[in-house]
Amino acid sequence: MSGLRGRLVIRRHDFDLDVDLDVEPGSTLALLGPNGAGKSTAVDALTGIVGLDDGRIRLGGRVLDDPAAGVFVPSHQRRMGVVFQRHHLIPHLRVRDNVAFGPQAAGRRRRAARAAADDWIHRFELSELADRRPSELSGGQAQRVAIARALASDPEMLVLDEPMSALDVASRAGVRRDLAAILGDFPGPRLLISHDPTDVFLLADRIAVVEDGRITQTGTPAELRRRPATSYVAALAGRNLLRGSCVAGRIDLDDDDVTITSANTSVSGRALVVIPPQAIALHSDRPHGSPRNAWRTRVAGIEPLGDVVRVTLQAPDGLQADVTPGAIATLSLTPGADVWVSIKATEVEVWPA
Amino acid sequence: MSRRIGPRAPALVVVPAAIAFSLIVAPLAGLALAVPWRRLPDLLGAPIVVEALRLSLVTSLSAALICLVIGVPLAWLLARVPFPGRTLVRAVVTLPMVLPPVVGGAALLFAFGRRGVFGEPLADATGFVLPFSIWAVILANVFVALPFLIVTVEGALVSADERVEHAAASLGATPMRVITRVTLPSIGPSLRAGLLLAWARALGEFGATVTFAGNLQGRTQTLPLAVFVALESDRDAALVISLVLVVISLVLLVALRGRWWGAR
Repeated sequence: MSGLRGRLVIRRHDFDLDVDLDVEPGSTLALLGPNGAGKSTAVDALTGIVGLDDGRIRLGGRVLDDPAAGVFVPSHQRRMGVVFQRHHLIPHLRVRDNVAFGPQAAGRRRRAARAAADDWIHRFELSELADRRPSELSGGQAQRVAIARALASDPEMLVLDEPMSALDVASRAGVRRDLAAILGDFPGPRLLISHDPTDVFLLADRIAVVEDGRITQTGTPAELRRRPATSYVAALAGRNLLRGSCVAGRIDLDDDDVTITSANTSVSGRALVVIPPQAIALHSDRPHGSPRNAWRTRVAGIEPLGDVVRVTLQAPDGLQADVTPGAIATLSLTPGADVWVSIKATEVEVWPA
Repeated sequence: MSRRIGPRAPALVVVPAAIAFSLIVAPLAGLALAVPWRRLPDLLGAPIVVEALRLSLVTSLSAALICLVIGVPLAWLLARVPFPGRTLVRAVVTLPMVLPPVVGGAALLFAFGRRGVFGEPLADATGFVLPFSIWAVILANVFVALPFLIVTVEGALVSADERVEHAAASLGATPMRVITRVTLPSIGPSLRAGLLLAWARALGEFGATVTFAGNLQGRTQTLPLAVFVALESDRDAALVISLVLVVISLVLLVALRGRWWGAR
């Protein structure tokens, strides 16, 4: 088994996709990107809904698509188990028959297919739902049936296309737990498509970031978190990413009239600055002591983010600070309010750009 | 000053609407009042009625089934496969809906008549002559009824969720299996509606039938043709046949709509 090797080129009149995807057997690659970046197009190409315009897809020992060689393997022969954003269960079939659909399509007799389906239904603790129709399931239940159904078809590879984005927060945890378990057990290559950093950072071994039809960064979750290459990745990883020119730890930011000092003095020239939002403190007056970074700006926006509140600031534009709800009240922060910002120099990471 | 009770539809709308409804109801009421109800059992047994009813049922049902067998595949192609000239094919398919049926019958005659472009070689090779046979009635019915089935089924296919079909294919189902196990079951109500519409259209067919198949009692004289003939000779028989057609049409409507009362 050599996993998935692919270069996917799709040309549309208003958009083109050109990405390399390599996934080793037993490992999970996440394709992470904003909506419209080309993730769905990549899934369509992998699963055989559309043919490539150029490039090649190879899975294990088989070439699935190679326009130059005139090879195109249709969807039903690709043996890719796909879990979609919506469950796409067959509406008139009960849960058991939906899961048995793959084995039956592979030529198993009805009874054998149902027995195989029951194994998966049992493994996913769905036995009580086996006789229900898809319309009688909750979103989370339906998605777990869809996962069981994909696995029951004995796929060589798994493609999980935004499997949790249509679910409410409560059912997300259950589906995520199931996915973590099956991803761990599944021996073939796994591809997770998502725009949700939480899922990706939790489930993936490696991440490929796709923006505007191109891969802009690949790496392990830790690598991306430590060193996001684009502001999109930085925002996803929950970090502020700023660009500027650096001399001996002093960085003049490109976009604003703000200079930031870092404890790291080894970088000079063009630089990326990474600041965790929780490292930014907000004050109503000029902070006491001697923070190396302190300046005055305004609040652009306030938004609750779980246990903390994320405050977006005007300078540098879009800088995000995470503070406690209590701090919002004490500082009486509202959009447009004046506020002092301070950041310890040791919290400011600098990377050569 | 008058007291407002609630929003009221304007008279300029209500009056023409009432005229429209009366225009449909008045002829039917006239028919019902003219029917010689006491002689009804006798008239229903008359050969012209019995033979036309039998022939109409056989030909219209056969035509509806043929429409189903060949129309669904065409509807599927139009809905699912982008091919060059698809828009043109779609327009041609709906042509019999707007074409005067007599013209359709004439076209059938020129194509499949004894001297027709396809009819002559067929007659020469096999001795089989289509016109003025029950087969001609069925063919004429199919010609006029097919668009109703195709348009209904294609509409349902276009609005059906194609992603479910993609999911089924990813599970290993061949395209044919996807059609039979996923697509067709999911558009069941529209298949039924298309079939009933095609049947209703075939049952009422007059112009194409009389032109292409003629008007031979017991062989090609269907109910609508029998009404037309009986109006000249036996008005009571014409009334009874008309009544039979109204009843069948009502039954069809009930089957199509299912629900009758209520505001919607």
